[in-house]
Amino acid sequence: MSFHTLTWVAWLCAAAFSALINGQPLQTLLLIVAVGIVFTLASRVSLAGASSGAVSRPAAGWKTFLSLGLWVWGVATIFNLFFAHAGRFVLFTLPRSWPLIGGPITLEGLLYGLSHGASLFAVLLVFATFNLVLDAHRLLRWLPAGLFQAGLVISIALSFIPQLMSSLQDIREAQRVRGHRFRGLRDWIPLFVPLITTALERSLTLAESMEARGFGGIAVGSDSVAGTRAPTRGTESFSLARASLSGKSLSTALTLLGLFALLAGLVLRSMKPQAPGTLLLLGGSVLLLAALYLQGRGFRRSHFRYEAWSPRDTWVSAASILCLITLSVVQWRLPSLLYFYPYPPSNPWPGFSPVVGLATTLLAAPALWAPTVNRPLITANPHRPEGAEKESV
Amino acid sequence: MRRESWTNALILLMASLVGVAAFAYPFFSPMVASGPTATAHAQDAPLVTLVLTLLCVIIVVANLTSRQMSARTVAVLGVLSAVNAVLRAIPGPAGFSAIFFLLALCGYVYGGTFGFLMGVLSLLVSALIGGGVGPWLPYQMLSTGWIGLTSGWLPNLRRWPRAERVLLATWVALWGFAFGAIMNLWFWPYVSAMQASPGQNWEPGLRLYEGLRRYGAFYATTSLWWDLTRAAGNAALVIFLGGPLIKVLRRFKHVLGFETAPSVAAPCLDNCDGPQHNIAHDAQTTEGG
Repeated sequence: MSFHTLTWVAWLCAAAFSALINGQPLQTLLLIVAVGIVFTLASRVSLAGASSGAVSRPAAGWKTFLSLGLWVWGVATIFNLFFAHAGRFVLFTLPRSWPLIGGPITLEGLLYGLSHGASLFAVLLVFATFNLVLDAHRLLRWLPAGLFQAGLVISIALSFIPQLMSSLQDIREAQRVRGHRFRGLRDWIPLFVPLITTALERSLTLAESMEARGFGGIAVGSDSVAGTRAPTRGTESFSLARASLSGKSLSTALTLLGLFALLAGLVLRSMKPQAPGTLLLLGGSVLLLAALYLQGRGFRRSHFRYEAWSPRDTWVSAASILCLITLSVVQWRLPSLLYFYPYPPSNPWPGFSPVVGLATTLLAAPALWAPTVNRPLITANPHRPEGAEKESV
Repeated sequence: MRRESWTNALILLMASLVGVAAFAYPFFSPMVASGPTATAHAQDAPLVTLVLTLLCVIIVVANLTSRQMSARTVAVLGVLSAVNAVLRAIPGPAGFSAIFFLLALCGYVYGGTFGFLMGVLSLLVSALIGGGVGPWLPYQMLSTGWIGLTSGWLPNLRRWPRAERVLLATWVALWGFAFGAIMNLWFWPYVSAMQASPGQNWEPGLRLYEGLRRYGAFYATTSLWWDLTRAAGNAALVIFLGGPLIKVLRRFKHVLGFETAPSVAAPCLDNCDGPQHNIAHDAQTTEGG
């Protein structure tokens, strides 16, 4: 199931949106089927190639997922069944004196709980699928430029974990030679404290090598190699710093404004369901994204290897985006198609909209165009050895 | 420099407020949904909360990391996040996971900003390695960020090591419960029977009270026991391992010397050869290179 990372991100956005806003149980079941097909294929591929990954992930299949998903579905159903006491079709009645759960237990409550549990199950399934196909290193390269330092920290952490494990092993062996045994919590001290010390010492070495490679320097001019040129003197760097300073204050202002808009929008929206709250939320989000863009404007990134974009990616992304757009329009114009409300005065039986159903079916697209082999990254420079790209920090 | 730290604090505060509002949103949003006509609005509560929380986390992290991180801070942050992520992945008895104790210690020793970033990033790393990406992730990141941040606000009891350990253990235990309560909120809108309260025209205040009451019942029946073991376990870890660990972390605080944030406002005009002036703002990612 190797598609381009951005394809998977588009699919995730569409699927998660669909799972989060849809409340009609029949449509949710269709969504579960569509995503389930993708999940099955993905788990088959990931089991086949499980040994190749650098960071081993727990083997995930239907068995692992169902034990969690069905439990959550059950809890949601039972909770709603006993806490909602409305409806015409009474199944049985609990004594009124019991706190919270006392009162009539209705068929509508059961239906509503089942449908909400199904939504929750669908959300979990969508993200479980994404976790199966996720390649953290490939995802990190698509972080927005404003977050590049956070991305750097994450990739340091990801590549440090195997080292951490091996040094834990070393320390354990050394302590065992000295006669160390586990009897209580206190016996973790001779293991854990050296581990932290080694880790911090390694980070010191890492920082020195980063500085030696020019991290923290100023790259001047558009022709300089990314992050490798020593800072130049004179007014040029000064004006650059000033320019970035003004960009910083602009992005700070935008951030504050955006956060304020979000806060006001949330408060307004929880008071009244009218448009201003939603508009404020949208505007605030746009402002925050603009601030993020401004913060990342000064950075340039170069890639040594890149992922190939194939026609299959185009088809799957197009299907995902079409699904996302359709559902957004439905949510905007005809929200009742997505809303399930079994209690009186409305009809307790779920409805089904063909438009939403078709859009949901589009989410099975990755299964239709599934490639059979894992696709390698394309190397820009053929003289470099394979795997040299990983963690060059 | 002062101004910058002020604006950073302000942004963090605003984002936390938005986060709190987003967390509380499911309790308020049913207010508007009391009939089949006006109801479609309540359905998007999970989506709204998720997107807003994610946006807040992203913007705060972008803001905090943008211009003041030296190579040392980046390296130490990465390494400690890795340790914390591994700690979280180690399965303990009864759902226990040791995510708070190192985070609280690091936030306490290295300050709130470092703690916030470490909390956010270590949760993300642990989700990436353990297959834990999901709609709960932004909530987890924001609330662990708060744990690290608030641990930096604790009074420095360096002279009284015993009191220090007791304080930190209590703190970690308290956060253990608070974290559990926050974490359940992401799926509360699904479980909440509040959206289905037909015919009952409650006062808003009563509705909020009733919502909190039901949430309390839900929390007590589903996750209180898990949180109890987690809180107790982390507190015990602080009691037993806290002393030596704080000593190590303090030692490296001096060695690394990363508590002094470099200044952007004063780029050296005459003598700036070498990377000592840690202006990180134009550094490039070294990916690929």
